[in-house]
Amino acid sequence: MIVDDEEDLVWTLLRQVRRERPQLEVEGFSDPLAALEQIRRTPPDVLVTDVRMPKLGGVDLIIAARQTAPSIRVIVMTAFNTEHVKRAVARHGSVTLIEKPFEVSALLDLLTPPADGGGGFRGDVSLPMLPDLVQLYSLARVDGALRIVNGAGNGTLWFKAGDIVHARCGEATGVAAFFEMMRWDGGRFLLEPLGEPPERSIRESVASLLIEGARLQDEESVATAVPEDAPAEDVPLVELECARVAPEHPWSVSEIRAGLPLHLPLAWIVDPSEPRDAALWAAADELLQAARPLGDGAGNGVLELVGSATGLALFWDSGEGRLAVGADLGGREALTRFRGAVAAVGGVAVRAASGDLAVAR
Amino acid sequence: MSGARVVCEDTVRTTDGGLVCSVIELPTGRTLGRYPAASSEDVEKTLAALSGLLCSGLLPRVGDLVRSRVGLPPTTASFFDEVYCAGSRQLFAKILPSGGAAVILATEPTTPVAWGWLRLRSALRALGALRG
Repeated sequence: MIVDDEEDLVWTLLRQVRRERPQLEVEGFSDPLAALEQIRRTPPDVLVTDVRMPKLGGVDLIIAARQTAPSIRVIVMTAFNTEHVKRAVARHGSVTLIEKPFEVSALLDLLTPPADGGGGFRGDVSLPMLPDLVQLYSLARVDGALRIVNGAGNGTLWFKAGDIVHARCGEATGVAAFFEMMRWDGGRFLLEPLGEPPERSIRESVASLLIEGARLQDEESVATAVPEDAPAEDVPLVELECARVAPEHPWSVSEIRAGLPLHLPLAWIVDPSEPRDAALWAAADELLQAARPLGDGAGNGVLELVGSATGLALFWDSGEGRLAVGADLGGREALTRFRGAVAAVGGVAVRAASGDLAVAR
Repeated sequence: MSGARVVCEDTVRTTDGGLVCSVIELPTGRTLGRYPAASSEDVEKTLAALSGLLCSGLLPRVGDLVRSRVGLPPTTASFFDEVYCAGSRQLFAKILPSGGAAVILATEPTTPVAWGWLRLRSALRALGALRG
């Protein structure tokens, strides 16, 4: 189906397609609303549409068409092949852009179905390409399901606006499934513009997932990176970070928003009623002071030191003179969440004693 | 160690926003390879500060304290193997498994964090291959 408000263009394209590709059934519309009615009655295999049209824009037409026919292939013709247009159409799954003016032969090539049929992207992937692929889909804010077939099995990652919201790999789901797929050294991939994922099992940012995935790979490939005495995954978290400023001064998100003096030594902003190792905290404070020049010279910045198996992350402030000191030790999941949240807000995060993650902008 | 310089050059060139990559010997701080040979004063200052931190006895000391805090036996393996700093620049550092050297990558603050780590890990693998 070809949709463009320029009747002459629609007529020309129809004539060319019918002449050059007689095996294809093609119809044309200069009214996008009429085209949408037809899509709802009989969805086409391929929708070729303009972006800027009266009554109904091309992006809205794609959205409506995909609601009726999620697997419809879409080719967007536009004279406005800008980043804005690319982003707008990329949000709606597998879409090909063709810039006006174009040779009709170029459109004919795009109309030719891929050898293995169906929509979406197909290709080979070999590590470290999988993280690259994930990052590309994330940056493009893709909606869809990335299916990966490997000798070890099949896996699927569901993206929503570029975020990974669900993963399944064999019996595993969620973060465990994602990390399992990150271990594969090659495979075939296919991005399908699917609807809602069956569930939401992942809430971590793509960046934190990739970092943790790469870290786990390192630990597997370099035996010395994981001491034999490393604690198991289910070791309870040891609370080390500042959860309160002082007993009479309970910590809260609003407290952080209000800002804590940056010059306070670490030991001062740890609740003195909490049992702690004075030597450890003195050393940690010394570490923060030693790391101060690594920021902007005024103490602004983020420092993260990650242990090889257990984890200790120390943060100091981002640019607005607010709290950003924390530590995390033990479970990888909590550490991943902690780091992801810190990355998301630019370094202002603490984890409360309850185990909940608390973040303030 | 010209091989290390080549790895550093490749790392900087393939990192969007990459500024400097350097391989230093631990604990001496001697430069084993870097690219480019010089950079802006603020980047050099932060590199020097991070080198100093990595070469100081501070990290092993804190690592030992954490280990004792959670009841882990002392070990010669480095407790910390990654350092990430973000301020006016981003710094990614990883200590080689042997513990005898570290790779530092400085980037613009706009470089995606995950990308910085991925490039640093590629450098580590390349350096590992150099060391046979």
